[in-house]
Amino acid sequence: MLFLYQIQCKELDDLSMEIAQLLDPKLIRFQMESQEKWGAINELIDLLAAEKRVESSEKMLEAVRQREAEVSTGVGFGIAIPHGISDTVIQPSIAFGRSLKGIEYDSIDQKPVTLIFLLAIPKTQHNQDYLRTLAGLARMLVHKPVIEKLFTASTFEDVLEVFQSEKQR
Amino acid sequence: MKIAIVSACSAGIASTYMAAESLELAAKKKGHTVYAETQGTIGIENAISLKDAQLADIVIIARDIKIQGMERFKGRKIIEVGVAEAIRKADLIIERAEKEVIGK
Repeated sequence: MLFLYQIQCKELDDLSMEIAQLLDPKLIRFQMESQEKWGAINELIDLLAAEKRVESSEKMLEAVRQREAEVSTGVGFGIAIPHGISDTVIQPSIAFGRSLKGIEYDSIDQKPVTLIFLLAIPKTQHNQDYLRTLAGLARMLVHKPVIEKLFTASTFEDVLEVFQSEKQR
Repeated sequence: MKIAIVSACSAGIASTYMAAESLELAAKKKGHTVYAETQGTIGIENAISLKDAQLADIVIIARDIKIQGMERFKGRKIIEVGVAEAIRKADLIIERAEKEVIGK
């Protein structure tokens, strides 16, 4: 049991480092302006475009739209993980937004979204590593302590710390 | 109780993993042994062997798309749910699984 626990620690430790490579202080908005799904997604795409993480905002939006058309990525608990795989993505990235007021998102449980992670994934054969990181991030987002800490985080370091400290669970 | 979990969503990028993690957390909280396989864009991870599949008291399939390798679970009790349902209602699904097995 102890052995298993140690393996888990290592994985999560690596996870926070990997997330650090995809996230950036400039890709975080702790107080989202928009209170509506597509407005919020555009707000985060704008951050990606400003940091030259995506070439075309329109193409990125289209990729996210395609995914949302299948099933809403508002998965409940106030969390949304919109994502798009597109050749317009220059650098694999995560943009993170938080809304204390809540965003009307067409979520599966009909509740407003308070934490939104937009994942931009390049369309290459070599995106397996990023996809693995994003899978790890997604897994963390169902842990209540993670959600609670993200809600009170106020700096980039705080956000990374959330994924780092979860290893001590 | 031994629970086998397999999850797969349409895009295979995030929801698949959230569903697997939710069910795994809920099952472990109740003291069950869990095998949780994910079928996503990065392929099949934590693959459940035929032997483990057959040892499972119950199988929980969380899917929006077709699952590969269903034949492993032949003869096992199977509960099928949607991926979103698995993420949101993991505790309830595990309770349902317990009832199926113990026959309460």
